[in-house]
Amino acid sequence: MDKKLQKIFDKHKEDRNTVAILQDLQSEYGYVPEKECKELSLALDISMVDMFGVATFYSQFKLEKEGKYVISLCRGTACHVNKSESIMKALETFLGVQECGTTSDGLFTLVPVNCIGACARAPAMMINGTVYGSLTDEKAIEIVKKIKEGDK
Amino acid sequence: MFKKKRCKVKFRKEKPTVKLVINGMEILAYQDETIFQAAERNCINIPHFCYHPRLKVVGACRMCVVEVEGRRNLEASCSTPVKEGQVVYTHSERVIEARRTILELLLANHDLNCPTCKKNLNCKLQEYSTDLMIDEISYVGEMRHNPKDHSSVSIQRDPDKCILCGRCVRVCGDVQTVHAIGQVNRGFYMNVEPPFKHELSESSCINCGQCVVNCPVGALTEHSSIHEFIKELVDKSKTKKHFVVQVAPSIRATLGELFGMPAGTPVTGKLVTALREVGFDMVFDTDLAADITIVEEATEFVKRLKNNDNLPMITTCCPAWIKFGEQFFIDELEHMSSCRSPQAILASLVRTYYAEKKGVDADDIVLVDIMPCTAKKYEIQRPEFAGDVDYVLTTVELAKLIKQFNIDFEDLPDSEFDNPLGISSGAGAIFGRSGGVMEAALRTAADFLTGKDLKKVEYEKVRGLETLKEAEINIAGHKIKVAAVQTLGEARKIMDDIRAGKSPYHFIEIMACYGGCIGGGGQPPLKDDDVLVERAGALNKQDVKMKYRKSHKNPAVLEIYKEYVGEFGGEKAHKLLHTKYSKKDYI
Ligand code: SF4
Ligand code: SF4
Ligand code: SF4
Repeated sequence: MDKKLQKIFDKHKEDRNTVAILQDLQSEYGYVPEKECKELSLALDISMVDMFGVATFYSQFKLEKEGKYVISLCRGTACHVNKSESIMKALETFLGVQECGTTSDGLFTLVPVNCIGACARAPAMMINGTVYGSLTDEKAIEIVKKIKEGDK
Repeated sequence: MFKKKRCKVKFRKEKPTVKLVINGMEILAYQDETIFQAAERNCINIPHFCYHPRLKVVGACRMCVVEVEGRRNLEASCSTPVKEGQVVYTHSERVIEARRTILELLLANHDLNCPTCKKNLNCKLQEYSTDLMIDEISYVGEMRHNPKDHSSVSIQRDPDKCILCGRCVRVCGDVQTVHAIGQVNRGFYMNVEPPFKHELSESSCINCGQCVVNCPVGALTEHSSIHEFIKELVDKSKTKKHFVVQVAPSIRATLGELFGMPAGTPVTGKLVTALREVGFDMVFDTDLAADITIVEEATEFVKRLKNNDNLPMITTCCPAWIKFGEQFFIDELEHMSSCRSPQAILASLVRTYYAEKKGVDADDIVLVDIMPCTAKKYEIQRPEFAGDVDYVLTTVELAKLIKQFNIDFEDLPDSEFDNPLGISSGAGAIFGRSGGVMEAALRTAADFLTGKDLKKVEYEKVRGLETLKEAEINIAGHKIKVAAVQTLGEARKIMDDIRAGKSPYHFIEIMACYGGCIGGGGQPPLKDDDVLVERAGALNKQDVKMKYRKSHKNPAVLEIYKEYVGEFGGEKAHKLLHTKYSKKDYI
């Protein structure tokens, strides 16, 4: 058991509270990692299916590690009528992931969100806090491409 | 008002004292009973999906709702305790309307392709929908489209047929303590599956099939081999293959139920005839191999007992238990007997002894096993045995096979198993029930230890439906403590004790399924536990009728050792009849 995990184990070896364990796992690792779950499951005698059941019951838990850049594509009404659907498709194809998926290089996670409050610039997306508006399919891809190149 | 005709007798010392009225009939209930239990005991049937007498009550499906006078809402009878003076209606207009709504909602997003479903005509959703005459579904639901999971060699999952009753999850987790599957996601997306999106074959599933017998619908079924087998069979005239089948001890006590016979009707003779009509050249009896297992196991036990070597020794006829041990108790594997299961022993002898004797090429034999168990489908694929057996069919599959050939099973004449692998003793017969392997082994071990032909052959203390049965026996100056264990939850406790060095036993029998193989994952579904009592009774009766009651007195066994295997527990016996265990990984 690594140090981070040991800490979670020590904290919960008495209460064995599944929700609290999952929260600690997520804040430590950024998501609920399978390997660590298994280790805790054996050490604390909580079954993996129970942990996974709870983790998938509450929407607060993420089951995949998020990419370095999180692309939040707005699906609010204003963006929707301005064809955000098509941008989602274009980004999916370009990145090779599905909605909520993370690219295999761990760089990008693509998530649809309800409204990022940039209706005036619809359709819009937000990448790690920066808002990009008045998008077209090509423009969105261009922005992501630039970030990717800049990261090398 | 209807008269009380039959009443299920659950023997209790005290008398029931709580008076209530169900459907206008006065009924006495026990203090601790629920309305459902009191009704059931008085033969008033209430439809239900999620309730099971041996599982934790969850009250999730609401099919069992009843009307209780003075209560505004309908109550789930499975979780409502009886009360003095209660007035209950199990089939009032309101109740029926509520049940119809539940069924319609279930059907609205159900993949309703009954004719192509393996549970067709044997499905609770179908049965209740027919009973309540649901002729129209007034809700339009979105259909689920989840991938099927056919990864396991034993069990197939079709999530779009699941009604989320949770019986599989409780039997796998609470009874077997395997926790291979659980409920994940919520709302419309809720599903029953292994953790972290893994397939069943990667999970901790030990293939016992208890989820299959307990699934009321077609969401969990056995991984069928019928089609592949029939394909090979119809080619018989071209390929000139020699078709051999072996039948496990418990099948003869359960198959009849699938043809409408009462539980516990022995159908040995018809079973053999049916297999001949299907096209098998030789029909062999796994009972004989059970006798060989006993001879080897008793030899091994006597040796271990005398040398105080790796005691307790644990039986290894149940492949679900073996995988359980190999996953969760890797450090205690030396307690397992090295004997192969009867199934594997007969297979080994068919490919060697029988092939030689008959003068056929071992590769030209197609060997089919009729087993009570989905885990046997896994066992034949273990690398140690690979290639010995071509197909395993469960009892349920055998009934389908017989129907596929349009054979009138009920009218078949009796016939007998073939030689040389068809003669067995009473000890082999009782292998199919919990406690049977222990009883058979004690018969032989006691003779081996005393060097006598003892009169005592019955060990009643290891019989019955308790999950743990214990006995202490004095043989030739040895005080031997034995246990017969059923369900893997009980086995886990026993193994924890062994690990902690505080197990009092010398010899332990473990079977994964409740009741033993008669309650196996490939058997017809149980209406209630009385069915298990009937099935076990059929095997016990067969035992009593046998000319030989002890495995080592079976003349066919002695002949095989004389002609081919050599000594009990000898070098050739070890090569042909024993095996090894190793760590198994799971996610
Ligand atoms: S599970 Fe039952 S109702 Fe559903 S398709 Fe199969 S037989 Fe029909
Ligand atoms: S076969 Fe047994 S171990 Fe596997 S999922 Fe079903 S109940 Fe669990
Ligand atoms: S798979 Fe079968 S037993 Fe399990 S929850 Fe679904 S319907 Fe119930």
